[in-house]
Amino acid sequence: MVDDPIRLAMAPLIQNRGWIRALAVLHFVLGGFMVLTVVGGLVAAYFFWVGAVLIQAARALDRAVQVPAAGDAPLELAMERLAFHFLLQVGFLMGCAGLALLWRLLM
Amino acid sequence: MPSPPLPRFRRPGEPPRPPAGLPPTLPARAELSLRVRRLAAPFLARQGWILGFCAAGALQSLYDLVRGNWASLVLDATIVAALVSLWRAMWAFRQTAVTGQALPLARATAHLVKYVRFTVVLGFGTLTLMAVLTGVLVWVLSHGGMGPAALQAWAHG
Repeated sequence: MVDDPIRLAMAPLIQNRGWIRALAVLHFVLGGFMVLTVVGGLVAAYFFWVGAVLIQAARALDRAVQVPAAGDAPLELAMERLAFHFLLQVGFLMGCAGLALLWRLLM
Repeated sequence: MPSPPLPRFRRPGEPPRPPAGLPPTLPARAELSLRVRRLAAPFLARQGWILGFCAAGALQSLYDLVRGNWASLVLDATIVAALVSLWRAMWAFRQTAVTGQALPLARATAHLVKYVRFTVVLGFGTLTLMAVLTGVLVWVLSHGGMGPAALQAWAHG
């Protein structure tokens, strides 16, 4: 299993899953700050969502290490979650840009 | 006289075995290619969004630079470094899809890890900086003998 080329290719991600967890913690912290503001509830939900997605990716990588018999399924889940996190970020940016444009048009 | 070995049937989902006497190179390579492409698929399916994200971040940094917003230069440099890593990861994912080999996938995951590290350092660095600046401001307001009005007058020269 150690000589599996897929495991070797995914090794950087597996070994650095702590960084993915740290990124999730960062999003939870940012979400916590947003909750403190008056109108930050919706933005906080976005930050918590991204944090949860990143935690899922890190857990899937944990599972890939702890349960080698699971095959590629945990790795595929981790990649899917990571790619989805980027989609959420793009959605957030587009939402912010749309709101800014709306503000500019209305005010 | 020993009886011949019983034929073993394939289980559902099990890849086909090569005929006896032939090396298992071709099926193994095809299977590896399939596994590699399956791992790269989520990123390739969203590559337009992710590359758009890179372009938007780069444009924002360029806008700061053109406006002469030098205060955010370090921030912008870190953002651009992270986005370059992400861009290179996407390029490697595309190479993975084309070649079906594990080496571009390894390169892609390495660049992805770089992006994650840059983002974490950037995020926590910004939070720390904001905490320090807030602390300094609070200290100046409470111990420096400057009220909000005096501070505002000082800020405006």
